[in-house]
Amino acid sequence: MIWPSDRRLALRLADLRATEVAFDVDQDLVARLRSLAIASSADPTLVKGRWKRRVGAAIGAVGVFGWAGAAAAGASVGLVSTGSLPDPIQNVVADVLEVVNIEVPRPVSSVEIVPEPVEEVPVEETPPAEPPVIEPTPTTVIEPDQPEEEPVDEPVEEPIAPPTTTLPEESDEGDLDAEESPGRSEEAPGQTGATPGQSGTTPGQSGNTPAQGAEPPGQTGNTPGQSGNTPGQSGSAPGQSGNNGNSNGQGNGNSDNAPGQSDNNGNGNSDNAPGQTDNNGNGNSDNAPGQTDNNGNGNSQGNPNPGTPPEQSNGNGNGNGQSNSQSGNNGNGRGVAADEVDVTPPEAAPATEDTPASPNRGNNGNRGGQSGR
Amino acid sequence: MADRVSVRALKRGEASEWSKFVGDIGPKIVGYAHRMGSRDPDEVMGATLEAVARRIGEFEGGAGDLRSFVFSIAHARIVDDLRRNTRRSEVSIENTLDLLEADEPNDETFSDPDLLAALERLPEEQHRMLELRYVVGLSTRETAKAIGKSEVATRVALSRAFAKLKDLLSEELRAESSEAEVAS
Repeated sequence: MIWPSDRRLALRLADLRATEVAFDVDQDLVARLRSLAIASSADPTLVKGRWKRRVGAAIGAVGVFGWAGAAAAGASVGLVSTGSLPDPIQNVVADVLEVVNIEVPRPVSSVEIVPEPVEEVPVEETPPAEPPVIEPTPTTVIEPDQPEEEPVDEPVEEPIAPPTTTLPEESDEGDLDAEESPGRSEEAPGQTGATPGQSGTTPGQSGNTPAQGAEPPGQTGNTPGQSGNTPGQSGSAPGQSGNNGNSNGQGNGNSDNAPGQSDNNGNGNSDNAPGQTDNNGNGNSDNAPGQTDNNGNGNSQGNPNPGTPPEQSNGNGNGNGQSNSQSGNNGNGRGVAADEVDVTPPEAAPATEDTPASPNRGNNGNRGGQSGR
Repeated sequence: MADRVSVRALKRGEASEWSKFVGDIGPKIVGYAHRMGSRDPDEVMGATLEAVARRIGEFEGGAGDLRSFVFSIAHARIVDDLRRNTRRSEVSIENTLDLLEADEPNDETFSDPDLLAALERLPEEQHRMLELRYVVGLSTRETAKAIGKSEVATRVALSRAFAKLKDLLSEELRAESSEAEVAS
């Protein structure tokens, strides 16, 4: 779209054409241009015609007779090679071509059939091939230099039945019933015997020397697993029930016993505060104040301590218990429930062989653990 | 006009078609070469037509394409002529008078000196596009082909060149009016 002003400008530009000077057409120029145009336009056709002419000239140079002769020669050679010519002509052609070592088939009648002597070749009898003998290959027996020895479980020492002890009737726990009496390992739950043999192999030794422990009562500093190797050292202070745990116990006694609490720690490293009993089992019992924990592992042996006051009990609970329940009597020692203590033995727990029954009531760790309350 | 020229007849070398073609396109080439500053427009015209005749055999297209083809060749010849003239240090005495007469503005030759002056002030490409589009009368597509650009780019460049030409003319008008006021 050109606006009026633009349109005027466009018209002014178009008017410049008028300045173009018309000139007379020069015919010489036109002729020259015409010839140039013809030349430029005719070049492609000329090239094509040139090739056509060359091909035609080559064909014509051979001539009609030449092409005819070539065709005849080709046809005759073809017929001769197939033997299609008449017999005399075929013979002639074959003779001619034989000169130049070209073999062509001759007529059938002219071929002489000479029987060739057949040489008889003696046939050698070859022996029948024997079947291959397969020798049995010796089986090699590989004898190991060192026969693998199956690991033989070493017999575990049967826990020695603890000696029978009699608790004094004046003890706090002396009024226990026979059913609740600790130390009867056949009533203990079977779960506590999962690791038997480690903790109660030498039961009853720890309690043989009560009141000899150099550790002040009330301190628990038992390194887990190490304290049990020194049975008999942990003892109750005089006037205390020395329910020490478990010789050879390898349990983890991580009990922290507040004063006035009983704790059953692993393996006999419990330090009992005065007036408290400890049941040393195997376990990680953390007892809340006022609670007892019986982590007893079987193999309890009651060692009557003659020096024990009547109000104290000496229970050596050697249990294999692993439970850390609170207020529970775990392990083979079967904790004896005191006033508030619930005795909840695991269900369907068979008695373990490692924890033989202990006829002594007061020798059970559980028993001692509860007596401290 | 060139529309009536048959490209096929030109290829065949028909004399009548060539006479018509030269009579139609020749003056346009001369005027275009003259306005573009060529010193010898006739020579440019002759060289252009000769190049067209030599290459008409391989040309393919219609009459419009032939015009674009012709002016593209003409522009190349004009450029060659301008370069040759700039390099030429000597001018023969025989042609001196003709060159001087050709350079002088003539009322018969140049009817619109202001417009021609404004066109000369434009850049060469814009000047060339305006010449081909508005003076020679090529279409936008033909102009684009002649200058070797796309049609869209040529259209944009044409509008810009046209606007610039208007500005130049208006400036001249303002200058003339101010001179007239001063004189009065």
